[in-house]
Amino acid sequence: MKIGSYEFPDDLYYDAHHCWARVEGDLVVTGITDFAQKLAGDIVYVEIPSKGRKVEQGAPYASMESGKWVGRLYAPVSGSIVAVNESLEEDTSLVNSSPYGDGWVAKIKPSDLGQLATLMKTGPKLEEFIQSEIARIEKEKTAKK
Amino acid sequence: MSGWRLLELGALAPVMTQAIYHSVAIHVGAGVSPPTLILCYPESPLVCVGYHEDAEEDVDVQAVRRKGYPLVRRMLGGGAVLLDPGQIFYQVIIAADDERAPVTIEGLFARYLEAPVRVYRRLGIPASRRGVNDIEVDGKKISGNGAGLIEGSQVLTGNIILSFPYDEMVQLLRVPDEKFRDKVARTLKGRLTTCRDVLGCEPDRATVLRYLVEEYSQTLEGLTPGNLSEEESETANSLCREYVTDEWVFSRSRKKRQIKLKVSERAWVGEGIHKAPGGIVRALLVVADGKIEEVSFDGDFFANPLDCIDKLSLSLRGVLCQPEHVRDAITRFLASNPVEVPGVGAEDFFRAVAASGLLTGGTKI
Repeated sequence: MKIGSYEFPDDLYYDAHHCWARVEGDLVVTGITDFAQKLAGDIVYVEIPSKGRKVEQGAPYASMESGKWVGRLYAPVSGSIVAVNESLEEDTSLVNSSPYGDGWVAKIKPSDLGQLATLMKTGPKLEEFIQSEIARIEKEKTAKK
Repeated sequence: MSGWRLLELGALAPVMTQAIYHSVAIHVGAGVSPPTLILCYPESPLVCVGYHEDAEEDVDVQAVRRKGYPLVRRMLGGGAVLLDPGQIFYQVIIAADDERAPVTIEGLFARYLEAPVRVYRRLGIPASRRGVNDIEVDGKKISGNGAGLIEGSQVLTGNIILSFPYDEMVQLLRVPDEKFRDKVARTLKGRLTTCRDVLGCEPDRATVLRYLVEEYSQTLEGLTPGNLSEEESETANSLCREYVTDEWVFSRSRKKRQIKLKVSERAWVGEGIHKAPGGIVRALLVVADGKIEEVSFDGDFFANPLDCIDKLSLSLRGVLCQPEHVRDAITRFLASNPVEVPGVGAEDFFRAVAASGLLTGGTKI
């Protein structure tokens, strides 16, 4: 679905940190949303997490830098990282150009796939959340003028 | 909703100037400390690299060690910098989920850089915010600023630059050769300025600190002097020990990329090397505001007449630093001048320039 000018594919799960999760077999693939990449601007560095690293739902596991800003990426589920997107070491722009595709960051073997139920799917709840974020952005822009 | 806390910490041990905002961010992000403004400065110099920076690649570690300066990696981005008592730091920390926290990066810098801009103006320096995060006067950067999310807190740090040790800073960078170092030095001096440079003398430190408190009081609601908690102090001491360990400082060994140094928000110095059939071609270039300000070519190729390569360099000044413009300019010069460079064509010169990594269509410049 499209919320404002941001894309949110229907088959993904979303958290309040603007990260997404997609189930692939028994793994969960994750990255940042279209909203997050647009807010961050051109990503110049991505810290690739190491394979085997344990992650906890809602805790940071990697970072990105957009030149003026260092942001953190949060794990959508607990588990261990079994694969990372090494292409991001060579081409960080993939996060901007294809946040849900070639710009994925890590694949997690979840310890409890049931945690996905705590995340948002496309629908009224996600729309309300993103619209409230858009409203904050608009308010900030208006205040600046 | 608690008001802002002011921590005027004065001169701190060099590493503590970086550990302190990390510690406070942890406690603010956890909801146990109020949003906080820290004002401090290092009692002696330190070299500080960006969070994602490969310290060994960008800093002459041996030179830093010989000086006896601590080398630390900060939690925020940007490049290597020499921090010293000539700089006063402001560090703004607020929980990311606090409704007062700006939501956009642009909004964050816009709100929290208002105060330092007004401080410069009160000092008689007509500074203004330029781009997203630079403060400039007469086209020169006079304050370095960075921001990020640390442990659930939004953090912005920056400095009022009273004076700056330009030459020493350049000596501590890792560069391919002295020619490159010279380019960095000249670009740095041309792009960066300080209170001392503008006013002819350093303003009184206590006055600058007072102005910062007064101006931030206009931006940060309820700003009131407070104290560092015992927990914040303990965390900061523990982070100080961690910040200087090799595991922390050298943990970002990224793959070797192009050699390029960001001098300011608008200027880069870079080197690109390309192996052409006729020999190695090296391009050393300075890019400012998206255009080639200066470029020089050398290598082990043969060129006739001898000065044709210098003329090629001159012809590229002012050209937009985008692939199609640079390629066109090189091709046009070589086609319209009697130049003989066996085994090195227009595409080879272009590739040397492109290898610097500065032809990004302007996005990273």
